[in-house]
Amino acid sequence: MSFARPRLLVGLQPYIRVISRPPSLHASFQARRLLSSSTSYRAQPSPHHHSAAVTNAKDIDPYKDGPSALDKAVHIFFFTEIIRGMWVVLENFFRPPYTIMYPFEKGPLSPRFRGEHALRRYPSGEERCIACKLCEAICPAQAITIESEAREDGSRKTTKYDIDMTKCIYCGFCQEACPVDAIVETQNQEFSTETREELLYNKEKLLANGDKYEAEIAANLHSEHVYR
Amino acid sequence: MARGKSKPYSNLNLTSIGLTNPNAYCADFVRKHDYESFLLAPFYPKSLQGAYFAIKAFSVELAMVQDNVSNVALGKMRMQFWREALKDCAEVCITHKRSKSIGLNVTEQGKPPRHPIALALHEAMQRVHLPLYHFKRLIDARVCLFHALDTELHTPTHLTIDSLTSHAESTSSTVLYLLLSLLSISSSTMSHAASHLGCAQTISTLIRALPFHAKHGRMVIPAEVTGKHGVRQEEVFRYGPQTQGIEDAVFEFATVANDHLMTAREMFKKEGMGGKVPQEARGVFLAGVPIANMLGELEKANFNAFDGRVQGRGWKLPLLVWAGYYKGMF
Amino acid sequence: MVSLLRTIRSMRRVGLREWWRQMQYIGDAKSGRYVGADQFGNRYYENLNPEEEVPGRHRWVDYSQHYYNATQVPPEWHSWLQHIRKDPPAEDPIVQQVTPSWKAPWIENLTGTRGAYKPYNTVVPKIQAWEPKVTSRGA
Repeated sequence: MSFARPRLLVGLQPYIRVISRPPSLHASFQARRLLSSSTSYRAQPSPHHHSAAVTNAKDIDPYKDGPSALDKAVHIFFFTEIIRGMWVVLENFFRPPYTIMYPFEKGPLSPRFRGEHALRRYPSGEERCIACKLCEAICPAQAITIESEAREDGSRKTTKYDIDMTKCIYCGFCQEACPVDAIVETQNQEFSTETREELLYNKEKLLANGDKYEAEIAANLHSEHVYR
Repeated sequence: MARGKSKPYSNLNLTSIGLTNPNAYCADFVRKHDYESFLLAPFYPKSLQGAYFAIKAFSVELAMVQDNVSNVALGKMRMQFWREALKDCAEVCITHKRSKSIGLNVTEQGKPPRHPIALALHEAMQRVHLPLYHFKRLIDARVCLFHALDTELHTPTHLTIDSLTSHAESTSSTVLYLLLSLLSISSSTMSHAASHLGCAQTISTLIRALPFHAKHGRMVIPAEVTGKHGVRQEEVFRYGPQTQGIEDAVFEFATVANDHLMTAREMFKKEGMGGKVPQEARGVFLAGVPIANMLGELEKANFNAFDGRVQGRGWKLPLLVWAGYYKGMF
Repeated sequence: MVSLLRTIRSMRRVGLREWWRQMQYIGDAKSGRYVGADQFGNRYYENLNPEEEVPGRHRWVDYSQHYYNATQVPPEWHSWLQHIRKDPPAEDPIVQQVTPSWKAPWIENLTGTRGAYKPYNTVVPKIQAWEPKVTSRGA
């Protein structure tokens, strides 16, 4: 232990002296933690320096709190730094990998994550989109194209809702602009394709996405709503 | 009580929520986002409950825009959408009535956008006369907030209680005016009381939402009040209830709400109504019951707005509302 | 290379057969609580013990197909696996409540196969191709 982190211990001497030494059994438990590379020590300014500067400039001994010359010589002579580095390598060699084994394990995502787009329906199954074209207007990448036609009852209906996913920058403005929560970005990020044309989504594809994802989308929106 | 039993939302299953039944959508929307208003619905006449939910859903929808939107242009666009939707709703109503008076049988109906709330509003407007300027005022108040957002980035705060009161006048109070005109009540006393009740409503909602807004780095108590008690905004965001002086500031803010509530109650004592709300207007003024309840809870929690009691719905509230209806008091 | 102790422990828990399968697919010996399986037979596991699994690797899926693919996880399980939701879909009341009756069956990403999505126009094209008409001569 004293061999693994001698310099650190020396550097922290003023603090370690204050803390009462733990009993030997406890110390042996702590040894593993001290040896491991994952523990972090915060650098703290020493209060001694300030007081020393105030008292007398001539009495300052800059080496007072540091390691002794003998300590330093020993470290240089026995390559302790290098051995410590090698120890870190050895330690990680016997550890389970930190790497996430991707298709089997997946990293955490926010419920607000913005991925593939979808067009939603009302719980009764009717399309939400009303062709107001606010998303088309706000889209900074101009990835959305909408065409609409008049219905018999005078309202409008989207006939064309194309999103060029190669243009989209996933800013989420479209879902913010939508007054009916029709266009949303799902949490799906796994929609890579082999050809470019597969990324030119049309209305049918977006609606199909919405039908597949509705449970997930609605659950996420549910967790979002707050008391007003 | 026959009126209490009739519920258009009793069949609130998922499949009915959509364009074919906009009132069900509005009822569900209000239940999700404004539960207290949802509780008050049974105290309106059965035929007007749909319209009640439409008005409430409309105001909730407008209030939610600022939370769902990350920049000012988007918020303004959505407000513009609602402005146009309202215009369409109103126009259709006018042409409808005119064509009826002339004797033309025009089948064309439902020009408003196929948004459930717009459809429900349209239906309500056809049934009852709802003055359009109240709706416009609601939108304008929210747009004003966006303008404030524009100048001072992401802090839609009110510096003085006066500015907050005028904001409350044009939001909560306006909704109450709309509800009064929904019940076809035009009495200056009532609207005066409604204006005070609206102020109390806005302030109590803000106190209640203090933890939510603080989490997002917004201070809802006017700077006038916080300044007096030496509350530092940054501390509120970081330490919440441990902030120095926050309880005093909340106390003063709540006192303003309570004063408004008291004034609203006084109105009914003055006019020889014996301190009771007239039978036909009880639905509107029952909105005071949740406010009084919340302020009472706040007092019990020693004006700690972060306390769970203030945040929660409470099982007593439906009973209190029910009792308030029979007593005619709030 | 994984820690030897962990490998042996997982091997003892899941059995030799399962361990061999894991080494073929995940490439790491893992053991944990069986959470459930989706409609395709993919099995989902969880191990919340930080001593045994590094946080971030504590939820995983065992694909039923040999040619596994990240998109074979249906959306509800996807939100569990990616830590969006705490509970698995079968135990999550909100997911149960908001699942509509018209939910479409899940299809994995079929890019590169015949089932891949091909974009098409959903409106009548605005430009019509010129069709030559031959009028008979001498009429």
